[in-house]
Amino acid sequence: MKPKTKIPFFITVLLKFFFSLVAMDCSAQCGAPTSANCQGVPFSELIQSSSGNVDFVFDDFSKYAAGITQSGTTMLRLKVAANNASCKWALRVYIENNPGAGTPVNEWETLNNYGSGADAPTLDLLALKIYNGCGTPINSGIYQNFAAVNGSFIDIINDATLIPQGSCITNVNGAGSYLSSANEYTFIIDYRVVPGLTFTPGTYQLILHFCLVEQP
Amino acid sequence: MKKTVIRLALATGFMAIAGTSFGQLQDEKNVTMTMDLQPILQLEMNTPDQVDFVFDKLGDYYGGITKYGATILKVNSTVAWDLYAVGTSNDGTYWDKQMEYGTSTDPNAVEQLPLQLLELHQSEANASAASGTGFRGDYSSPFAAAPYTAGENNVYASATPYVLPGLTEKYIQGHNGTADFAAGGSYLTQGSATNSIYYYVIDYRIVPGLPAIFPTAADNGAVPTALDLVTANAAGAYAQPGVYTMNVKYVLIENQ
Repeated sequence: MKPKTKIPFFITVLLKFFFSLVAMDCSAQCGAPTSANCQGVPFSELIQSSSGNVDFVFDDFSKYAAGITQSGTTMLRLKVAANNASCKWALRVYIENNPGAGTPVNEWETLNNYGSGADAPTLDLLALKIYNGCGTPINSGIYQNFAAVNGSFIDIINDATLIPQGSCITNVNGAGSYLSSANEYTFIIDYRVVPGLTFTPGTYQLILHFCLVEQP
Repeated sequence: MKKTVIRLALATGFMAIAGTSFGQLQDEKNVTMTMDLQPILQLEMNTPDQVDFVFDKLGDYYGGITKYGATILKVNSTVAWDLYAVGTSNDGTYWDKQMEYGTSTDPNAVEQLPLQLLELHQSEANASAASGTGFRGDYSSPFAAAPYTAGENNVYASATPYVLPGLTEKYIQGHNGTADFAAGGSYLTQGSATNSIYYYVIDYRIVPGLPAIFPTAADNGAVPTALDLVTANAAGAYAQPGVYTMNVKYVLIENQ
């Protein structure tokens, strides 16, 4: 019987270490929380109820000139459970261009080039519009561009003051859920790219990291 | 029993350490953005692709026939580009004879009409032809009246129309050198219809002369070589009456 009791013990220890590492990995991009006023995953959660891939295909001159807009492409839903009344959070989106592959700090990662040329598009080409029913995001409903630097970010919700659920104003950041307040805890993101004619034809890629993190 | 207590204590300790991170609110979701910028080189020509010159009056032979605005070219490009016109035929040197009028056996009746007898005029000058070494870098010179200047507007001719014309040839825009090109753009967004390197109105002219020796025919060498029928053949030569055809291709190509 002894071996049967040892296996669950070590598995438990290993699983706990694994979850610790996962949590630490997230913190590398999002910034580590320094307080524990809110409950962690899975009691609190950032839910992405849309595709994780967004493709822009420019195969016509009018698309180059006028750009491509993809509306409502990403939808994020939040539920944040509190440990105590001080629970508040921030939501940000970071841009990453896979610098480990040698991508210049200000450019999209080049996957493939058509023909010659080396003018890869810059990171500030991508514009985002973030909004919800209450207009809680900072700059809600306005297209914003990232700075053309890998790791730059746009704050969606970020306020040192606790603004509780139900306020229906900018920066609602208290405990709550999209189930009880969809207009405050749901975020819809539109994307727009207007490349113009200065960049080398090719296939390019970047990654957006949406981070929900507790704010002390 | 003692070992079990120690194990439980260790497990509780590990769980407490791990729980510090696991219990805090932090979550992340990712979206991968892929952008496919496909190269576009569009040359639009909505005007008729048949241009007929019918010489049935004395005045037409003397003064020639000019077809104004017979071809309109519109460019859309996302890359740097060159545009050239090339006259070609079955042999790439002479017009193709489709039929002959009469049964003349006169040795002076020449049926080998050089492709270069066709003259072109483009509405907008070539702004990027610095590397050109020919007599003219483009077809922007107005059609001149007699006496004609050989080589002024004569079409570039070749049996290999998709091979980039050499340094001595005419281009509509850009040239053989890599530094000679037009930047990506479109007639829709850049310049007006009367002032845009993305929009060309092309005129054609043929002057047979009388006798029909095509006195304007010449190549585009630094010093053009006359190709009129007398110079190319012998005194007394003239064009065999008949129906002749040739093909003018407008080639839009990425700068190279």
